[in-house]
Amino acid sequence: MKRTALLTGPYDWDPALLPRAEFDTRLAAVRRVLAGQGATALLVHGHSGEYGALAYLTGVVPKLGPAFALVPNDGPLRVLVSGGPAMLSAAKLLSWVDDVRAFGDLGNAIRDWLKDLAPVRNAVLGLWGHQAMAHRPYMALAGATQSFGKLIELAEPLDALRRNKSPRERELLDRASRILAASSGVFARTAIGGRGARSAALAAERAAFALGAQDVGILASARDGGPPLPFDGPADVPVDPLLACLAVRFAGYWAEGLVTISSTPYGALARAEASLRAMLEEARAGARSSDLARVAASHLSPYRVHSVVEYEIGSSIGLSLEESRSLGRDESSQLEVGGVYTLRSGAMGEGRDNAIVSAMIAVERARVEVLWSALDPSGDDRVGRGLE
Amino acid sequence: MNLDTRIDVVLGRMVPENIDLLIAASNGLHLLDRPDPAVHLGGYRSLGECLFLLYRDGTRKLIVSPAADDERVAAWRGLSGCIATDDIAGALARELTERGTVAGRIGTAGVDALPHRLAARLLALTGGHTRSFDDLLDAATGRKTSAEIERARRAVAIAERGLDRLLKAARPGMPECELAVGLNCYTKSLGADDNFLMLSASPHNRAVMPSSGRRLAPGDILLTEFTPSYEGQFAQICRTISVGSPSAELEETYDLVVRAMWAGIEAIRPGIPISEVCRAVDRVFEAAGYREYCQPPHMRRRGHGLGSGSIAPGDLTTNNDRVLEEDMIFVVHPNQYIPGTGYLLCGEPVRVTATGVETLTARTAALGVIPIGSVPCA
Repeated sequence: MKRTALLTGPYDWDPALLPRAEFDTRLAAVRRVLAGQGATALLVHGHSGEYGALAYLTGVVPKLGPAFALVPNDGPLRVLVSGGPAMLSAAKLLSWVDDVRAFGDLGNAIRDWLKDLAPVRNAVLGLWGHQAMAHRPYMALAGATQSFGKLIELAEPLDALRRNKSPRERELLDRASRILAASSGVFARTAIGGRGARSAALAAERAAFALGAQDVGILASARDGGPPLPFDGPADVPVDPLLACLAVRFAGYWAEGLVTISSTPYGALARAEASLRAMLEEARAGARSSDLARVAASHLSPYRVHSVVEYEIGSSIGLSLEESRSLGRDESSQLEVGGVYTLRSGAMGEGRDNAIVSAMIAVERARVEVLWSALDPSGDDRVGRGLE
Repeated sequence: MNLDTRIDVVLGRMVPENIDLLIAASNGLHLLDRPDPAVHLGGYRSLGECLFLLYRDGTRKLIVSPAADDERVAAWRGLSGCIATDDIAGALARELTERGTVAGRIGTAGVDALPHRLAARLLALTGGHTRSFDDLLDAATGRKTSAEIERARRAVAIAERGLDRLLKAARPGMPECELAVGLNCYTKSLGADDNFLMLSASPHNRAVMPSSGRRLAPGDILLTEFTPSYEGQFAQICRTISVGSPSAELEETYDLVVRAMWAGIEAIRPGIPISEVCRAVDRVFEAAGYREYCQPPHMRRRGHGLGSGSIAPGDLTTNNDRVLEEDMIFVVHPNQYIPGTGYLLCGEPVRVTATGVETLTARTAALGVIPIGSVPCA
């Protein structure tokens, strides 16, 4: 999903949605991990396309270039943002953290902070959110830290914290899912009404923004039954079947859905839906992704697995569209209690005879709640719950 | 000029540098002010990371990610032999093995902007003996193609219509971000595929910023850098809008900023260093008594190139001596903090012509007004 050049939606930190206490709890959990790893401090990276770790701790969704959180194992955090000092007033609105600074030279900014942490010679410095970091800032960061100690990657234990959603996060994901339901409903109605895919996407975007979405990303077929793709030009052609991926972000949290819109029932769609239904029936805490994939595939015959879901049947979702770890088709990743996941299926036949569908689920100890499903894309049976 | 001409220019630079293979990389982000060598040479905007390979004999190959982009890249008519894969490093490894390319004779561009792990893997594949071709590529290929110029014109037209919409839609009480989101939806409906839209307001601005939840109020000065992208080519207009009737001081100061912009634009012609354009802008402010404000943090740059692809000629600063060439496209924007009124924006996208300059807008910068009665600004 291509990210926008500059995020424009409502990104200011809203304590009514995510209170300071929520961040305090997260910070305490992260510091317990640091203590367990013998780490003195943590460096957290994010940019506007992938900010999950950074937002988890600070609320910051960076808009201009990369941003970093510098987290000592005790004491206040510091946030470094791209952009000049004159632009800081807007950046400060993004976070509960008081110490927000603009950086020009990343290496110097990190060295200055590490000096303030003295004594930190031979320190162990944790790194999180670094997988998406570009080569240049990574080299600057590595250079700045080498005289203070060694860097260790802490994605594995810290990502596990993110996967376990708090009740507050569940509420936000639920709201994101309801926006997705409304948006995908508009998308479907517009397309079925005979409008082009581009018009349907624009109508869906507007609907999502009207309900408070921060960002919307939509990919859609460029030909009948084609794979979901970005809109490369102004062409606005009716497409049937129309395969699409819709993603909406609310308060930092993503909801994502794969849908197939068609004026008439057809084979691939029926098989894809049966496959998703079977997966949903099997989904429970502890279920393995390889088992879910097998169940899904058993309902696809005579169709092939769609290329969109060739390697993965879903992933954890939250502050990132695809949180680690993904639900690999051949892996033993398990659905975890407290996790929120997308489950995807798709059938591929010949020509236009293709379909993709998905659902979002919340996994609890004794049950699985479906937050959104392509089997009921506009969430008609959830309408009564309203959109706050 | 077209992409083939650009490729010929690059091949002409590879030979004396003894480069057998140029690996031009894209991180797939397609940003306004960062170069994207793969898009610049290949013309294809990938969904994910992408490598454009150019061999000394003229052979070109494109390796794009993800694999799900296969149908799109196959339908693209720019180049035969494209590969869509989820493992572009693996695809490159196979390519290097098949071609037997010699380590030490490989140039790279754009690798620093790739995700670190991928960049490290690519550099390891070439034995760590690559040479950076970024500066040479930038220096040799700053001119836009005819297609890119046409796209820039379309983007400018969208920006101007977007500005019209802004003037109609903006009203006191509206959050900046709500206005910005609505404008983005509107420009998309006009064919834009993206928009780098800076939009912020205050009675006394220090800079233009990304939109926040702050609500517009009478007496605000609204600043916007309106930067739609059409088929991947960005173009920018910069404007200042008074929420309510502007004060005499604001009108007078804005006139100064506009005059500075025109002084810069009128200095443009092929063969001069870009720093001369910047100095022409500065001289107007200096003559008005604002010499000390012609430096950060009161201003940042007097304009910049427009991606995606090449961002030549770079930033309009006094230390950029890049020489202007015909068909370079960039924005000239004085964008200056002035005590009393605060930071003010005006900026025009321009094309360098054979003998001078062409502004790409139908209507050039003037102080905009959102009428709300007789509330004076600043």
